[in-house]
Amino acid sequence: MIRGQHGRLAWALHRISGIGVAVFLLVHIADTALLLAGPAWYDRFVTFYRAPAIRVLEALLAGAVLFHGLNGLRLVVMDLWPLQTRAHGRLLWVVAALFVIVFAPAAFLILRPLFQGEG
Amino acid sequence: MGTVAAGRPRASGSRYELWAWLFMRVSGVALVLLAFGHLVLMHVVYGVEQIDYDLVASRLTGPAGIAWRVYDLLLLLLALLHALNGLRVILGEHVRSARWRRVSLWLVVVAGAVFLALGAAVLFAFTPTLS
Repeated sequence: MIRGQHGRLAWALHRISGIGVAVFLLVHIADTALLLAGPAWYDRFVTFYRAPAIRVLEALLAGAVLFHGLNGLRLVVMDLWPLQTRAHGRLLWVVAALFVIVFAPAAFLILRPLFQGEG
Repeated sequence: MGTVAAGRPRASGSRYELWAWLFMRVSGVALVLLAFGHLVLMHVVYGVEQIDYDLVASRLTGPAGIAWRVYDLLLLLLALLHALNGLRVILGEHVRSARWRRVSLWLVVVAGAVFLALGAAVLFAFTPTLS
């Protein structure tokens, strides 16, 4: 099975982030369908995404998508090229490093209006 | 299909599970490009403070609009199937009773059909009322 605590943590995070993104996907398909109801309906709902509290959720969502994608690529690499356990561990650190490098600016971008004070 | 000497256990079981296993990898790699691209477009190129009906309407109009509809349709289809198959696997592991497992599986299938229809309806039928 999965070796080591880091592997187990990645496995749990993969599931949690997957469930979170799946739930948002359904919400997002529904809000996009409001396009068919006309501008008033669509704009009333979609401007909701600008609210400060919702932006925090959006940053979390971006983090979930990013982690799920990077960790998923790690799983594909491990399936295609069976590696030694030591290399598995290193690959997990690559995922963690890439996550931090991409997530920091992404979160800043999404949360920027909060730092500037909502006017 | 047993366990290989090194690396992770391979998918085992029915033919269906084997295809599901392969689909999750192929769609997953495609989704890294499609979903990351979608996030960059919405949060970096535009930003949520700019997104409204008029912006979406102009994005989905004209020849470029056709291309974006194809992009969005691919994203919709792969993301939905990937997400629902993931939920199916999780429910299959955690729902103990066989009957509730069957019920939850049907819920996933019905949700998939409903949301696929909803998303596809927008991409096929949306004709903007431009202000």
